[in-house]
Amino acid sequence: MDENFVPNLLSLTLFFVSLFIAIRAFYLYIRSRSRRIFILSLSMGVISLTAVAGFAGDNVTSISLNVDWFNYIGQTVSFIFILLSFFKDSDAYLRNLMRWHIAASALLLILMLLAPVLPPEFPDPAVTKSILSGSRGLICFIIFYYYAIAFMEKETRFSFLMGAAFLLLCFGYSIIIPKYIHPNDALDRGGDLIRIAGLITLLLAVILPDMPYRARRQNEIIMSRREKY
Amino acid sequence: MSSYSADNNLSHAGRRPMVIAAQLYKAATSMYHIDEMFQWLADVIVANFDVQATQVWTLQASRTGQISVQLRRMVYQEKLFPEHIIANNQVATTAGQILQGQSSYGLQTVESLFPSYQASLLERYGLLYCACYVLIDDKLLPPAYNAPATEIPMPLTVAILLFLRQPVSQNELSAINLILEQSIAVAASRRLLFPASTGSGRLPSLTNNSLQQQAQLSLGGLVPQRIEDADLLKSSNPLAGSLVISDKQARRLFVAIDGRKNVEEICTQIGMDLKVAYEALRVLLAQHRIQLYDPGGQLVDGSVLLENLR
Repeated sequence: MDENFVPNLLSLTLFFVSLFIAIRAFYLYIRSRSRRIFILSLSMGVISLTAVAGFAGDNVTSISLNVDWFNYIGQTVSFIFILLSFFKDSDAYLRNLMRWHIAASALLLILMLLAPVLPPEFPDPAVTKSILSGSRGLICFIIFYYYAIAFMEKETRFSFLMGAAFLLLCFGYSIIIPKYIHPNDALDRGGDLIRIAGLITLLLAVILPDMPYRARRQNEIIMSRREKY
Repeated sequence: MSSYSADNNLSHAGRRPMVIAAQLYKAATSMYHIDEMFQWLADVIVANFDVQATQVWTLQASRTGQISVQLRRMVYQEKLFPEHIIANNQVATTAGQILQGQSSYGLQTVESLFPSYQASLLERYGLLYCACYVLIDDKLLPPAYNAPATEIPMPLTVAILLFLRQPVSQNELSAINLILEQSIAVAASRRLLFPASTGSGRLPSLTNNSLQQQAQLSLGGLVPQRIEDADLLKSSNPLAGSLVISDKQARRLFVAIDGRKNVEEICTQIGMDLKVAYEALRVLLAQHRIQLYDPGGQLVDGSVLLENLR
């Protein structure tokens, strides 16, 4: 099997899932003007670009590309803005957050364009990569925590699946940290596969219709009673 | 063969509430007032179950503190009996008692539920049974679509009366109950119900004084502010499309709202006629996308003011 198969599969899954969410969210933003939806759209748009950059970094050999800065920081910043959009519902707060998000995303695009000229190696790679890559896992864990609370309060399928997705992403990001100190292919592949599972769960969360878990459970109870009858 | 057929019917009947619930979720995306949902439910119950008439009764509060019983929606098989047989003071009195008692009665004979004269009237037209469901929630039920401005929202208390010629099975009754309960969850998620009152009393705390002050305010001088759905992206799927503002003028106005400019200033800025803007504001208020504030920063019940402009 091609050694790039799993990383490429991850890049493609990340690209298509995040691009789908970004485009759908942007379309809904145009029609609803909800600032939180804009933040989601921009975050997922940047994450889809990190997938393209990751794919290029893994496969383009003719020029030296250091896309890891953009990958790590781009994903961390995008997840941070999704997390920050949870903190308050006031319009003034979300309007300011949108402005900061646009500015931060513009800087990230510059970082992406600088990939060919950035030095191929990080300073003190083990520490720098562990911190940059691990920060994504930390943010994903905090987002998972928010969804866990939301699920306990409202018991919706959406919050359950989103919580599961971010927990898987957190695991996927966290278990690959040791590879930056002692390279370990098995760990790397395992982390990638867990992240793919997380992304598929994320996709399911946004394509399945809203339904309170309690209502679904009630349906199932009635169905099972009828079958017995 | 007959056994297979019976199983098949049973399975079909079992799936019916789920199918109707799915249809409800879909239909709710184009609803902007709770009365549309009541109408949809009444239509669906009469069309899908062996029910000859469905009535939706609610308690309605007025600013003076009076509470009355209102028939919000009614669907019946017109060929079977005239309207006044089920829509009259005696049925209203019984509905009021059911609403005050706040408990569902299940399937009963009309004799056990209504006064003898009303019961014999119903029996004459073959309506021998009545099932009654009561739905209660802390969320506030908006007044009827065409209600006078004196009516105010109050905590949801709805009685649904079903008139039947013959008894239906317990499964059918459970299915209807399930659909009705889900409709409340859907209405809340679609924001067809107002958030629960945080006031000390059971009714929204509006004093006569504050109402007079609100009435004196010019709508053009009010400052609209956007509201972001607190559940969006946390408990509810942002990509489900429930937030879409279909009305183009309402969307145009919404884009221009910055939380500082008043309605007149916004209209000048985007070149929108005030009458068009009021209609757009009505849409945005109904969808709970905005709140209106007076120049002093106090929250105003804009729906009442907009109602007065009709």
